[in-house]
Amino acid sequence: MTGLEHFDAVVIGSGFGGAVSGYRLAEAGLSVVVLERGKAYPPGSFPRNPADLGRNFWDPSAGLHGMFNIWSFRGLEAVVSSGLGGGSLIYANVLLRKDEHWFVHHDPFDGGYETWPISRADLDPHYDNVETMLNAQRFPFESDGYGIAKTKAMRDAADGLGLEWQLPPLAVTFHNKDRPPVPGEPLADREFPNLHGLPRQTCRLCGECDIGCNYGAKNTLDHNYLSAAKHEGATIRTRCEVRVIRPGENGGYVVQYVEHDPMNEGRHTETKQLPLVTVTCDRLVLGAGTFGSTYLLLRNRSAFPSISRALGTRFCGNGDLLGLMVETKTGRPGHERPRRLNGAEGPVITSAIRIPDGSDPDGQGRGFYIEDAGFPEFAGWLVEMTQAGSRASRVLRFAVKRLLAKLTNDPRSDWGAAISEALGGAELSVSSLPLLGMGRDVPDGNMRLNDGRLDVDWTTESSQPFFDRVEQTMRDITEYLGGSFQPNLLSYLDRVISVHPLGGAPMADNPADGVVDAYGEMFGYPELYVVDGSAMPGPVGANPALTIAAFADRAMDHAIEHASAGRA
Amino acid sequence: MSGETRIRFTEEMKGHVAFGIDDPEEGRDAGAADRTSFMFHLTIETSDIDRFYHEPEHEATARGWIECDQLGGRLPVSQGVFNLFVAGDTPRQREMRYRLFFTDGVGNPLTFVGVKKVEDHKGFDVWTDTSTLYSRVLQGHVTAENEEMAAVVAAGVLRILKRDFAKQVTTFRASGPSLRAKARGFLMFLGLFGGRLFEVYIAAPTEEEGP
Repeated sequence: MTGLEHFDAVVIGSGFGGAVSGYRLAEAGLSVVVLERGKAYPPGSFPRNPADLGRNFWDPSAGLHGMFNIWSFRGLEAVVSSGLGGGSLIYANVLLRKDEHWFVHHDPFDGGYETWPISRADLDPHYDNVETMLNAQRFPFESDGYGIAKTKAMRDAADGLGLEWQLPPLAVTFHNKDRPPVPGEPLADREFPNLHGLPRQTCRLCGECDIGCNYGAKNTLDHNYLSAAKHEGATIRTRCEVRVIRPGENGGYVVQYVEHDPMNEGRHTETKQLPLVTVTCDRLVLGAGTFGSTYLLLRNRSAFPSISRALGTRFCGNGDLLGLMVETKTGRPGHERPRRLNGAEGPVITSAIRIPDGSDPDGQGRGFYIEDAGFPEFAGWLVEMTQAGSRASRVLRFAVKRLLAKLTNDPRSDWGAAISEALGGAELSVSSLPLLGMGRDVPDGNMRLNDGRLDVDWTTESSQPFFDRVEQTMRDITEYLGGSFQPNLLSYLDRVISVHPLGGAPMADNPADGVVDAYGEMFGYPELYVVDGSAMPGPVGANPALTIAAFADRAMDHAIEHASAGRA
Repeated sequence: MSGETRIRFTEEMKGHVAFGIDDPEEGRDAGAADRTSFMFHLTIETSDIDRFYHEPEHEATARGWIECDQLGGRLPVSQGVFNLFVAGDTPRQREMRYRLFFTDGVGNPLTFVGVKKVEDHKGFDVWTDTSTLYSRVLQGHVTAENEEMAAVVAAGVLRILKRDFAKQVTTFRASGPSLRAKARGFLMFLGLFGGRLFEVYIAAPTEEEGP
């Protein structure tokens, strides 16, 4: 084909898979374009007033070009991100490695099949690389001014209950190199210019990590991998949503995308009616996220007739379970007073309690983590529903809409617009604190197309013993802190809310079990890589971001080797 | 020519297909297991049923749509043909072949190819076989000559239920030089699609000889 723009590599998505890949390929001297469907968010641009927050959702056909992309399926709701930097814009910064023994080869406990073709040792050097680039720092709990109440409460509860507690590495800058931590200190420049060209500062402990850090203290991917990729010559295009992928007639791949014009923001514009822009490439990297990449592959399946039948399988929500501690107390019996947890103080997550797995020397069942969840704004609507506050009518309208969707058997899975309507300011008291649990649920969900939309059949059923255990530990922690525990409302409906969807294009050591190999390269389609959460063959257990990034870093070693062999 | 008997009817067949499998029967089983449904709704029309019956190159046209969620929902057939081949030692062993060009939800060109066996001998389960369409979805818009080379996207088996066949009969329309010709067209249709009445047609004298 002539006349079409051609790149050595097209990278779809700019999250933990795409950003790492874009940088690595550009650094290796390849011409690279990174295509991101969402907008760029420089420091200071994340919406804060309620009206703008209420519109901060992704549903471009409905005129919403915002950051939160909410999906609703039978057994779970999922929140993912749209924007330059992908999930890093809204994640809670935790950079934990996947536990060494959790790279299971089949599950000996609950019967759920799960096999990882890679090991902790395979990923360790790549974990190191990513931690360095993301400037991982632990929350400086011992430093003056950082001994915040929620972290202390978590530590006290872990001590009292005999649980393993830690301050995990976070992708947040608390201190400049060789300087003590100080809130709001200007950040030193890195070895490459920042793509936003704006100053950043150290963490001010404002608790807004999940709705975008306006101070640039959060080391989101735009500030590091994507800035470095741009510095190495990569082209980065925002507002470009890929719709079509296929192998080229003479090798390589063809990619077609639509552009979400800012002029269409706030206006109903059917995405499928937008004109397609075509580019070609020698290698294609899918990093559009678990939903994005799997949906893209499912919709384009007939262009990939040799793709594994495992496409769409091994879905899970990484065992995510949100719970809420309320009315925690402190003081001697008979003299209790409310315990001030100040959930909105500090980065969203500061600490993690780890419950070992049956595969560990000292554990049983399926392992998990429980982390202090600060005040993620997206949880506000859940809290509202449990408290039935002043915005009840909006919540009710939302509930009715959902009920109608169920009754009419409309599997409409993209809920950005509807949830946007129901969302409002959450009223959380100083003595309450959400807890985020995550771990090794059973990856037995299937992703498929249903009337053109993505559908996921995963339910909590096979993972119920796991979720019961996570909830019990949350209750123990809450009880230790003198509070009462509220599971989120969805749990009464046997549903969970996940911010860590995984699977759909799982890696395996053979094409019967997986879509891609241990380097993310697709069976039957050389030089086509899947490097995001969809390649995970099961739950990571810990927060998956670092593992996805390390997996992408490893995959790109392999891609670069191929590329230089081809050139030699 | 005024001597031609034209017939038209509407047919719906449904079943399961599976992606990544070449063999229709395997595809049927795997597709049923993972609930991948496939159907078509076609209006088939031939300008001359006698030539259609005797000349494989005389194609009937098929218009309508295919529906498969996994390929993008309801997809119009851009070009469809339907013909009858001798497939065996005797003229009583025939094959009906469907070839439908369409595109998936994102615009990839595809071809549906279906084969139905029509036989007539004692002990042959006529209904089962004439109601079974061995189906494959091929990549590209593929002609018969290039079929062997084409990549198979999905394979499976479609069936017509007896209830639906009854509905199909009501859609039958014929035009011809005489009532007798029209009636014969109807019997030929029943013979081809209903199986059991096949012998009725075979027993009837034809007015033309095949090539």
